[in-house]
Amino acid sequence: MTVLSRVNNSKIARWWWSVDRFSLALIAAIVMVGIVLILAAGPVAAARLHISNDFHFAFRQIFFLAPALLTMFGVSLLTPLQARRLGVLVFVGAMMLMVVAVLFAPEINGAKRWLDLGAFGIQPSEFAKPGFVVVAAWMLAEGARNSNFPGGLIGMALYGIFAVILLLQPDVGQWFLMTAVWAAMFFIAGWSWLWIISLCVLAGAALVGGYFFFPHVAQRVDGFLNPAGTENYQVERGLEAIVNGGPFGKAPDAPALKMHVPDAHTDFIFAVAAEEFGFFFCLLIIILFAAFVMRSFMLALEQRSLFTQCAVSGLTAMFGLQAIINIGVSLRAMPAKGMTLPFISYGGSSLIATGLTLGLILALTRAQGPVWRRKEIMP
Amino acid sequence: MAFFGRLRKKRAPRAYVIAKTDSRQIEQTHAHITARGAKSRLAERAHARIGMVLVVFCVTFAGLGARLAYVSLGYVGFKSAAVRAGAPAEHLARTEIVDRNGVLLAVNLPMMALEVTRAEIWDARETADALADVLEGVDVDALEKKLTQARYIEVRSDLTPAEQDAVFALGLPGVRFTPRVQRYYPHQSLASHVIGHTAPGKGGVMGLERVLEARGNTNPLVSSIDIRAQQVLEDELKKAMAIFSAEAAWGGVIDTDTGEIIALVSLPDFNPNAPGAALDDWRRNRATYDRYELGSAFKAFTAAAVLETGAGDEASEYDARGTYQVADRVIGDFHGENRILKFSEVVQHSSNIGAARMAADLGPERLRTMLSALGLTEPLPIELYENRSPGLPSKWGPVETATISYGHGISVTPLHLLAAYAGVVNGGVYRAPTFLKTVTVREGARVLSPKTSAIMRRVLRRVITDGTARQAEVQGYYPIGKTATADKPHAGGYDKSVRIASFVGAFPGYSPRYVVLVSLDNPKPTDSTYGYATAGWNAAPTFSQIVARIAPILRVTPVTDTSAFVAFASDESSTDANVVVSSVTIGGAP
Repeated sequence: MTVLSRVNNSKIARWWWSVDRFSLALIAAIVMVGIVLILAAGPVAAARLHISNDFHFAFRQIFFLAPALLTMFGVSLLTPLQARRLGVLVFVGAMMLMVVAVLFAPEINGAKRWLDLGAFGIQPSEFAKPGFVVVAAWMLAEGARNSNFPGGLIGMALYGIFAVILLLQPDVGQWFLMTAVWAAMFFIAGWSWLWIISLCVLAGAALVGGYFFFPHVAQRVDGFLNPAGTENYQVERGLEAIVNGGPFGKAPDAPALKMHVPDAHTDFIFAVAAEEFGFFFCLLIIILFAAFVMRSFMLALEQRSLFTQCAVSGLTAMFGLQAIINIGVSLRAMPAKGMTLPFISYGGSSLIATGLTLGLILALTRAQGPVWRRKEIMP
Repeated sequence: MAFFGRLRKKRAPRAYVIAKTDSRQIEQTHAHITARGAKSRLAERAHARIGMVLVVFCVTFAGLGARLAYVSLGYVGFKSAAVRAGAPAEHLARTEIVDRNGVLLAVNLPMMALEVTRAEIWDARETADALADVLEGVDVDALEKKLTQARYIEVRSDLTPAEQDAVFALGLPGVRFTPRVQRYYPHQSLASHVIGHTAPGKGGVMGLERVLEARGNTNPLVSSIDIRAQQVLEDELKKAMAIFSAEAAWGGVIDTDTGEIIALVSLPDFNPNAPGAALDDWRRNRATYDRYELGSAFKAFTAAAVLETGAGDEASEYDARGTYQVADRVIGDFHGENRILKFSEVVQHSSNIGAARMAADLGPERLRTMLSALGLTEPLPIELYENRSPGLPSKWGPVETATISYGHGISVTPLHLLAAYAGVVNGGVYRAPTFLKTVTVREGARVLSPKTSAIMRRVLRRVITDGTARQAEVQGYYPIGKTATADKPHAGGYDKSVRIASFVGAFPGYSPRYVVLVSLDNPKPTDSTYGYATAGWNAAPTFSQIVARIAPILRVTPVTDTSAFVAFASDESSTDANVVVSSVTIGGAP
């Protein structure tokens, strides 16, 4: 660690000593688990999709991991103000791309989420999410600081636009996620309980409305409430794989049910983990995510500005909720909803966007000595 | 700003002042001032609320962990697919059943079940219409109703590949095919009572299908049935049932040398491919499970016992004039010769009095021993579970002995009678019947001397030439046999108007290879029978037609009078029972 000695005043050294190294360690562990799992699940998915190279998904995932980690590192070097500016830029850019996607992109699996960039596509909504959290946190904090500034209204309007675009795609899962995150941020920023209760009622109404107006939502809710009746094929196969794993994973010669799990490399990678490595490994995955989420919330608690509190909490909630929904669906604890497991599921956009999210969390939670404070304008 | 609730409005003046405080100052003096600042109060509230969110997340993650343990450690109530995958394979291994010549009687067909998931279909009516179009026996309205009510519907469990293609070509959503194995009986109702059937979840529940349940190996089960003979027997019995308006009919063919059942019919029958469609009564195997008082057929056993024990011989005479009283029972003759009858005439004319006098000479003990030796007092050791023990009198007094001599007061299954006759005419060796093709020579028990058997053949031949069964004659086969018309037991006695008419006979008569039993339950007189409904008028001609058709199938060739007479005159049986080697080819005779 001579390179990164405390007296070393280089940017990297300062970063190392100010960043939360416990969070870094947890992220590293999650990345490791992700590599192991994509090696287990990738060949299965490749076989199902008739891709001749068994390690197509594994290689691509590892290939995308580098830019994702670089993004994370790069973003975490930023000061809070720079991070906020980046968030705004990303949000505006991603929103524009989402509009383009809704207007011009071809429909894939019944949704217009992808922009084709030649060798791979990007999913702008993945980037819009952390951007939105940062912008919303900024607006909320500004609104709280300056009573003349309609931060809450702007935040709500931005949420409205974002929600409309997500529902136009349609991507009900992301919309639900962002609504929950947005609610958590408003809650933290000091929403009155009256508002919370009335909006809970509204949300309930929206859910009922979704049930009646979006047939595929209704179908999934039905499927969740009556697993015996409308067997959800993916969830059912996933559950079988989990049961097959038992406490320590299936025997090497046992039949591998992961072969029959659709989306084994993305939405149902947790089921593959359970079959291959068993209950204790899966518990470790849950503990890793839980630990990172707890740690980030603790760091948010230590923050002194409302902006950083809100932004860190929002980003953490987003990251944590994504993991919870993904794992919950695999365990049939909630209705089937396509959601990636951050840093573990296959997907370039998802990986890099997760890198961005974690980078923002790290940047905003860096220890800020007196020197830093002078240099920065803390929001 | 309404979003931030009361706090901001109420404390606005104070907040305004302190909000201008430099944040660095707040930090340095937080002990005194921070607690009062609106911004810091906001931060404090944010602090508390982040704590709440943290707790919510904590609980949620803990819940996920618990759910994972619950699912992963096997508390979810379903079997893993690996376990379920084992089930159809087991079913696939179900042994096939073939007849004695290797013709398939029960086979396994791979089929597809057609299932529809309600949530995945677009339009119930459209789906039902389309399926009904390509599948037979699908009721559009009933299916549509099911599709709107149940969440998961199995439309058919037995799609053929062609039907599956047709459904597949419809391109309907929500339609799924699951591989199944269907037990199929290519001969439909033919031999249904012997083959039996399976029931979902239970396996074989009847006949040889049930026998399979206890059988370990997976080689095809070779039954003793010859499906061609079975076809003839069933065909002729159905015809007779229709002509004589009988309520039921049954019959059988047994190989006299081996005890193998070549054919066994019980009518009405059922289609084992759809056993549920038939009445329970139709599924009952009358030939092995029902017992009847089969009447006069027993006179042959009485006569054989007389010869065998020396209680009389061919020259003995029996007074059949008037009636014969045993204790309180008055015995009369139906055919009423009303004269002194010779030994063979007792059987020929089916004289109850003659038989009762024979039994009186024998005594109960010797008659009983003979019936036991012929397997008529114990349940048959057959493979089928549809088996019945005979109904015997509680005591063998003089009256019982007298009535049993002509077959009243004792009830046996039709199969009992068939096997006993084989023992009487084949040279005197009794073999219990079997439904499995025998590969090795089966042990038999000598019950009569070859001489007694030869005399009985001649006596039974006269039944057809000069007795009650003239219509049983078959040109060139010289059949032998005995009619039996029994009144059905009724509460407190016998119902004279309801009878069972039977004929049990063997062919070729001079050296029997097969014994055939024909029974009609309550046949009615017709114009061509001149108002008679006794066995000689219905069962006997049916027997004749059956023998004429199955003898060529069973490779028995007709012979001339000369060679037949020589064989009849011989006291030795050409299928000598001492030589238990399977068969002498009767077809070899000129």
